[in-house]
Amino acid sequence: MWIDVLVVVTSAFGTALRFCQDRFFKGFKNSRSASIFAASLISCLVCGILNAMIFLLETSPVLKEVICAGFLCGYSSFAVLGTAAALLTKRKKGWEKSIFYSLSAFILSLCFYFIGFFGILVLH
Amino acid sequence: MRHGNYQGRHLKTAPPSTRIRKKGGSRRAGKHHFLSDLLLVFAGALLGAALRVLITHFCDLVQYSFYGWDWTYLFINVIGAFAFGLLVSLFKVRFPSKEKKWYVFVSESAAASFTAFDLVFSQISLLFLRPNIVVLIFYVAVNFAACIVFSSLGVFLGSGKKPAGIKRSGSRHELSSERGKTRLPGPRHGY
Repeated sequence: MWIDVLVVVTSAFGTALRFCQDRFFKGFKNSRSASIFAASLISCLVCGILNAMIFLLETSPVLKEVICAGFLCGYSSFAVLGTAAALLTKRKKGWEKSIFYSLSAFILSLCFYFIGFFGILVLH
Repeated sequence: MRHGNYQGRHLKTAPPSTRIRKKGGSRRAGKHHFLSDLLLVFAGALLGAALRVLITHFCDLVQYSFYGWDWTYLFINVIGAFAFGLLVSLFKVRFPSKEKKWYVFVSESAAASFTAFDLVFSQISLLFLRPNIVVLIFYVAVNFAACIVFSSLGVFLGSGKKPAGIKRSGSRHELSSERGKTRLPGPRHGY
């Protein structure tokens, strides 16, 4: 019960952080899709590190629940990523940009996850 | 010829002190606006995340698992992606004059925090213990593809327009089809 409450609260903090980051990117590059892309890469990296730490050091799964299911799930989102890709079709006149955006997000997210995961394994 | 103590018409209507006060006031109002948006985002994210946790508890699809896949997260992601795409296109493309607070509360925060991005990647580590790397990659790919397809469906249903790649007749649409050549900005939905 308390873990669920913690998950919900940390998820809200993650979403608030992404909102601030979106505002910063909007002022900096006038593009939210770049902010969403960066958020998914960062969260994948952190998720990989966390999973490797749990796998190796056998840390408490509560930490994984709170950070991974809470904060990181609020910070990055499949829905936001997919909508950014779909709206790129409307903005940039073509689905090629959208497919390139989503494919690169998929491949780079996986790469960042494995960098985090195997990085900790190698360092250990 | 101007008089010696001529101050100019613009200075008579708006003295400098007033203008400075107005600038400071707008900055303060902008900060206040941002903080109120942030509070709305926090409240909406609490709602979305609580809904996700509730669904994870009550809708347990692990019994139908395939190579340890958790269908619950796919179900949550698909619903969230469709809802987010639909809401964003409704608020930003079709009815841009609607109240911005509702957009921030419902779509920016609640629908966005509802989906579980990193829990899908967490499943990878569980699958990683089994030596089938193809299943591992395929699981994430299915989630990615399903979310992008469903959010695109939401966007195109919500905006109620044809995709920009299709050429339409009429003088009004001819201007938008020339957008790439004349360097006019695209629709202002912020993405």
